[in-house]
Amino acid sequence: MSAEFKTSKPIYSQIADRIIQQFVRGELHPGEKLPSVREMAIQSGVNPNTIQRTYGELERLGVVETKRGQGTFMTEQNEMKLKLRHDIQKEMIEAFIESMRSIGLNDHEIYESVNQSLKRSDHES
Amino acid sequence: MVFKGLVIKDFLLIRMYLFTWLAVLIVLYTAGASFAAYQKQFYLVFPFLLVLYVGHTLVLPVTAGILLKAEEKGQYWLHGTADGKRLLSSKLIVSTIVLLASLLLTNVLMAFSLMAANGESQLAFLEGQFPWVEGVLFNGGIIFSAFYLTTWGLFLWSLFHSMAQSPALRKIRWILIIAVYFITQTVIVRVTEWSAVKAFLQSWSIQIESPLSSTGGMNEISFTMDSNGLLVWPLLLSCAGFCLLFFAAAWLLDRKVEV
Amino acid sequence: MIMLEGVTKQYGTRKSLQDISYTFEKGKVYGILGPNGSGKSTMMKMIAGLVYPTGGKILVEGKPVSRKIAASLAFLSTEGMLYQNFKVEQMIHFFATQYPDFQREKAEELLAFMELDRRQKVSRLSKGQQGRLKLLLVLSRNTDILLLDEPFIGLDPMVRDMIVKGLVSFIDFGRQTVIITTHEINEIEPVLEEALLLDNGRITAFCNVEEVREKDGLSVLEWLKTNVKKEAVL
Repeated sequence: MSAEFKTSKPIYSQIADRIIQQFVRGELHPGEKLPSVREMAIQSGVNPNTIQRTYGELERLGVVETKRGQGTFMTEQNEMKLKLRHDIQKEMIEAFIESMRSIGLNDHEIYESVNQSLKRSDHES
Repeated sequence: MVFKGLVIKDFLLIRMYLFTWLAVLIVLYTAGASFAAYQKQFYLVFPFLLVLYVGHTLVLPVTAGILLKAEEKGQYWLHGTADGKRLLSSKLIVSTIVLLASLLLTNVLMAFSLMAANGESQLAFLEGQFPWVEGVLFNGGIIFSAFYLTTWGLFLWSLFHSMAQSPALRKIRWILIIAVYFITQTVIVRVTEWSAVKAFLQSWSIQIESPLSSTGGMNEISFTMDSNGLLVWPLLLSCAGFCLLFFAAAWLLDRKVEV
Repeated sequence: MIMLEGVTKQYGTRKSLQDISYTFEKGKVYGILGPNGSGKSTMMKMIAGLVYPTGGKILVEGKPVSRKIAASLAFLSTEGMLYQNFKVEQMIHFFATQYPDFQREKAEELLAFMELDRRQKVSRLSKGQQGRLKLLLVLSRNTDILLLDEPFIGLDPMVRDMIVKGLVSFIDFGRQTVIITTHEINEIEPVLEEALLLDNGRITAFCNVEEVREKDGLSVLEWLKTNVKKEAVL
């Protein structure tokens, strides 16, 4: 399942993003053990040094913890998950607003169209 | 371990050729013998066998050629822990096994024909005796000629491939190869014509009791045989020459042949 | 460490490599990229000690390279590695006798991983299977240096993916110095650490793969294209 990587971003941070997303979606649980560097490298078809960097970066962000001789685990702090979700949410909304503005919508129009879309999808479900 | 691996590899490369060739020999002999028997002149099988024997001089160089051809593409065999001497001697050993197997089969066919012919009508020239001495000499002569051709072949093959890296030499390497061979031959012939050298070469001979000693017809044998018997010095010097060619080939293979 | 110092290879008037100086550091994975005829193969054969430089020096661990390097270097070449009338297991056996560092257990693992049938004859294998067998033979060795010359040539994407997985699973990262030549870069890009661009016998550019992504926002393939274009303009 070696996934495709986008060209614009270092591979190590793309894998980090992927792990964060899985964590926020609940596919990875707090305290869950991550695959070893080597396993993860094989799964994603990348150089193990890249995974090493990914785990290092995640640890720096406080998303994972490395326990000596045991491996790398997702953090057990619940606030972290909320914070990460908030970060992703913020990032997505900012990107959305930016692209709406770029096609010429003003803030009111953006608000209205989002509102309508939400009502419609409520109706359908 | 490394060398054994090489020998097994070379044997595997030649195995099918060997079995096919031995089968062809039997088929050829059966055809020849049947024809002779049908004509009610069984002795006709002997000239036929003689041709097969003489053809054996080519078995060794052809086998070695097939084995070298298998490595030519990419010359990947040079990427290994074995040096040129080992690489080439493995080829030579396996080729010799093929020659000996083929020669042995031909000898068996010869012995069988002799016995069959003897039962039919006494062969005058044999005087009722089995020609052991002639057989050994004849086999020896064939093996000698085969090694002559093969060591020259190995050396020229290495030389040929050594010249591949230089485009200037590359274009004329066939001519150079032929030139190297003929110049060497001419030099040897000239040197052996000097009376001092000639006297030395004939100074040591071994007498061989044989009723057939005057019937040898092959060039390579006549070089080491004359009416006095087997000349030892030419034989020893030739063998030394074969070794020289072999080591020169191995040296070239290690240092000059490129992938 | 593999050091090339002013290495030139000349065939008559044609220069296959021109004044190449570069150092391959121990334990890293390098990709040599470039069009056909750029000198990639010649460079690999030189590091393997099978082609001699006309000028300059090649040093491996400080010593000039010779044919003897084969004892600590595994080389996947584009041709001549496999004997057509051998069975897969006979090829493995032959390699095991020729290289003391050949690991039978690793070969067994790779046999399963590469989905090869040990009883099949090489001549009956598809191109993809032959490529996998070649990789099996070099990856089963425990060497300091691993040279892979065009491991993807003529293989379909499924097989290429498998080979990349094989590389990640069986390379000893950090210890083995790996050099891969290719012109089909996409599949192995995530495995590479450093990339070199070879064109007309010269190293025209080199980069650290992750840095190119981080600083320039380019994949190696795009980086390659911009560099080739620059060359063309010059």
